[in-house]
Amino acid sequence: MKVRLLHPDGSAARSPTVPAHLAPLVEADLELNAVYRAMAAGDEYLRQIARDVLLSSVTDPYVIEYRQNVLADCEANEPVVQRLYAIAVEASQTQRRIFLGGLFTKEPTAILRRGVRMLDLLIENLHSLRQVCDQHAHEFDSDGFHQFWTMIADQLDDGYLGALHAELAELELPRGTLLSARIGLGNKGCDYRLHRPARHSWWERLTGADRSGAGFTLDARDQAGAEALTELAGRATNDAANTISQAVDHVQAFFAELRQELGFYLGSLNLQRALRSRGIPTCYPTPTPRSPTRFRCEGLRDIALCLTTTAPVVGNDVEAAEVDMVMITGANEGGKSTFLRSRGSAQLMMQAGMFVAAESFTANVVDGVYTHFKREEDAAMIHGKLDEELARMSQLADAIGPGCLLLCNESFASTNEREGAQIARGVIDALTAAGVIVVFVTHLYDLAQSLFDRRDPRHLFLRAERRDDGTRTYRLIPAAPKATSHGLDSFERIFG
Amino acid sequence: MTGQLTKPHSIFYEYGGDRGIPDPPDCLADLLLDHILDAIAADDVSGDLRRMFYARARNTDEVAYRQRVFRDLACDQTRLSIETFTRAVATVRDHLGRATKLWHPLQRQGWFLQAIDVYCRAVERLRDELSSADLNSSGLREFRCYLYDYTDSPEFLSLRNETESISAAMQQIRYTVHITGLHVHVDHYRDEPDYSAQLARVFDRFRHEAAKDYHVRIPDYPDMNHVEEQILDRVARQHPDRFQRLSAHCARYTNFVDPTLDRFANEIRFYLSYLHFIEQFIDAGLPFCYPTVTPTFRGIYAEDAFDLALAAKQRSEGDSPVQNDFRLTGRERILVITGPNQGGKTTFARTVGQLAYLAALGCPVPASSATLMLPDRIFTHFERQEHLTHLHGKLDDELLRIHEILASATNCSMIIMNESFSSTTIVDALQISTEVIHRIAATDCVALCVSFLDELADLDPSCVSMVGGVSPDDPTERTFRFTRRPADGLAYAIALADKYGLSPEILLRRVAR
Repeated sequence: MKVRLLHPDGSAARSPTVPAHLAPLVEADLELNAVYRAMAAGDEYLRQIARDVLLSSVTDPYVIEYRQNVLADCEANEPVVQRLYAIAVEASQTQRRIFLGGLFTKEPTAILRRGVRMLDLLIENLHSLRQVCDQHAHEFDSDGFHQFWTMIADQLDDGYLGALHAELAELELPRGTLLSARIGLGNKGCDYRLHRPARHSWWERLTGADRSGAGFTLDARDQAGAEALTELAGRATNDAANTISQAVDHVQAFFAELRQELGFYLGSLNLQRALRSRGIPTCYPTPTPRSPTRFRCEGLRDIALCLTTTAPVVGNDVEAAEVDMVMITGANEGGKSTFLRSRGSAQLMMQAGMFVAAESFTANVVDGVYTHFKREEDAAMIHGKLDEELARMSQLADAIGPGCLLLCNESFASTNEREGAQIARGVIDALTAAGVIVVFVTHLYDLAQSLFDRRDPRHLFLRAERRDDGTRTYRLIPAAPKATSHGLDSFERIFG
Repeated sequence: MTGQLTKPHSIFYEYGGDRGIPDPPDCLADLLLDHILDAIAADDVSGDLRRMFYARARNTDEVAYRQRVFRDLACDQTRLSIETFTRAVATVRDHLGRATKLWHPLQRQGWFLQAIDVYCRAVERLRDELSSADLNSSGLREFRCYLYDYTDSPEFLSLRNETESISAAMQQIRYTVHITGLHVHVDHYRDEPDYSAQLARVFDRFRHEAAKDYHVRIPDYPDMNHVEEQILDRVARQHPDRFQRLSAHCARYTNFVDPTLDRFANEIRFYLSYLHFIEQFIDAGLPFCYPTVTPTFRGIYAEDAFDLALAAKQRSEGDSPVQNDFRLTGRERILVITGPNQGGKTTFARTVGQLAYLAALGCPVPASSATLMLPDRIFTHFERQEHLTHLHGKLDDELLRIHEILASATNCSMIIMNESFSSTTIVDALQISTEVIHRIAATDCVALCVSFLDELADLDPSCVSMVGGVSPDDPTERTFRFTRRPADGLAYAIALADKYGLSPEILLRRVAR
């Protein structure tokens, strides 16, 4: 039994697409922690799941849409989904409700007994699942939920649940343990097998008609004899104990998976609520295959910013079809970094199967989202800062490959303009030639102008808009780079 | 040859019979043969195997008898078949031993039956495998004839068939045990379905591909506890015929092992263990050969001979011993060995002694070719620790021993002397040694004498001088090779100094290092 709400094949990858040592950098640069926090709404488990799913990007547009449909279903039926989630949580706590008695773990009959007790509780959870299915399955539209409800109805039909109950009752061994053996080496017993003791009516038992053969009874004080009996029974119940314990594992794994997958969707709904309450529009993005490169957004907003400010947040409209390099220049605090972040986090959210904070959004899937932002902490150390940047870029070069997205924020600015421009040009040319999509925010006029002069149709140049009176609109417009970033505006603003 | 042997067949003694348990010969320790035997008979608990190595062949015919068995066993297939058989016999003895230690009669019978079963199978297998083997020794051929007759005999056939039939009948018994609390009920098996299999089917939809295994490893002891015994009793009562048959069968065949086969299994270990021991040296490239053994002196030769005990010790270091040649022809009888100290003289002496001893046993010897006389006894006269319990001093002790030796030696004996009479002055030693050499020559036996007295080398026409070599560039480096040449003729004093490593060149090197 598999959940398959995150992936139609049930094989949702749980490892981050980006290598482990680079993932925290991406999270920090894109301010993903704000996203996680909103999804978690205080639940640490939901936070962890949100992180896991967001970082393991899906690259198949079909699967992305599969998830979007499931999410839409969750939105339409949130109370039912909450109920399912609660059942999954309860099932994962079964272990704590049974006294495990670790002393007995080496004895098959004890292992069997423990397995039976746990299954008893888990079957109740399966029952509850069935009931929800019966009552609400028809209210769901997505392929994901359809296969889930069908699976529940098929695998857990009344007949089977009844049979399970009966079997578990038998496995309590109410009529003792019946085993058979063959005469083996030295006339010792071997080849033990377990059997079900026959049911006899009380009359048969009274008159002894159920008995042929011969018997004996151990003395109550015979400790060694009792141990010998236990060991004998254990030889026969070994297989059954294994089967039941494996069944317990499976059902627990199923509920754990259910909890994870529903947890992700519930977290997404939490985020949606938080955004809606601030009047931020959300939509389901359209994923397209890796090539040709496509990017189109209307009203794209940075979620982290939306969640931390009360002021209205400006959205961006960008059209960049068949573009593999976007260069963003313009006035400081013009919204360049904000756009860069929103570009990155929206890509990740799309490839997690979520909505994005925009009125519309279309992009091709990428194999990984990487960032190269300037490190604020190192701002004090001028010496060696270029080294640090280059080292980091080299680390990225080890991991990044064709079909990935790289977001650079003021890279190589920690040296003189000419040198920085030269390094940056080289890096950009190499990466784009290798098939990496680069979005580059920069103050290096030399760099921007030299690239602009190439008139390459695959390069797009955006500029942070500034009105004549110096106010920023926080919007990016397609425009050629300008020699000044109007730093004087800031000076005048601060110095009055 | 038909199966009717006049005497019980022995693979070790040519004409069967039993010559009692031989005493360990005195020369073993001096020749380091005790170390060699320790290695060969490491697993020999009872000591029987070791004792076979004290029983030299009575005559050259018996030497040839044993050598031919060795040659037959050089064929891997033959040897493996026989090794399998000896292992099976060991298993049979093990099961029988176990049976005697068990208290419950049904358990005893069970192990006893198993022992007979293993025995019958092993015997039949050996017959099958030997029938296609290429055997040339009369020892093994006669044994094979006996084996054919035995396996065709009605006694063996009835043993085997009855055992098979009873085993099969016992293995078919399946019984049930119903445990309710402290009550145990034993009954016939009535084709009750396998519940574990049924459970696996029911829970099939709850199975992972990569599931953890929850089976508990329950160890299997051969003994039964009292619960199992009581269960077995009741099973026996429910199948009275089969258990009766078992009991009767065990009573009838209390001694089922054929004595000739039993003896064969014991004695063949002599050959197998020796071959197993020398295998490591052969793998390392050292030579072994089947020597020509003569009843009286007809010349003694050996090429590329080496000390087997030294070889064993050096194996662990990955080294091999130096090999040497020696010969005595015509009137020659006595090898006089001289040379620098620590030059391998004692090793050389041991090599000669070992070769003679092993040849007398009928074994292949450590050399590439050899002709040796069959010695009636090998006497050794090596330096011994001084014993305070003796009333005599060391010299007296040595003189007593050599006197005994000379009294018992015949012209078919071998005497090996190592640095005798060193606990007196050179002049006295020379006089005594001269006298002893003359008497040895008079006996006409073969002898080897290690000495630092060069004069002994040309004392008598029957003496042959062999000298240990040193490297031409470095007089302190020994080659451990011995060649026939006159002794170096060093003066006494120099010889003495040399004996203690105090000759000028050597002393200089030692001190200036």
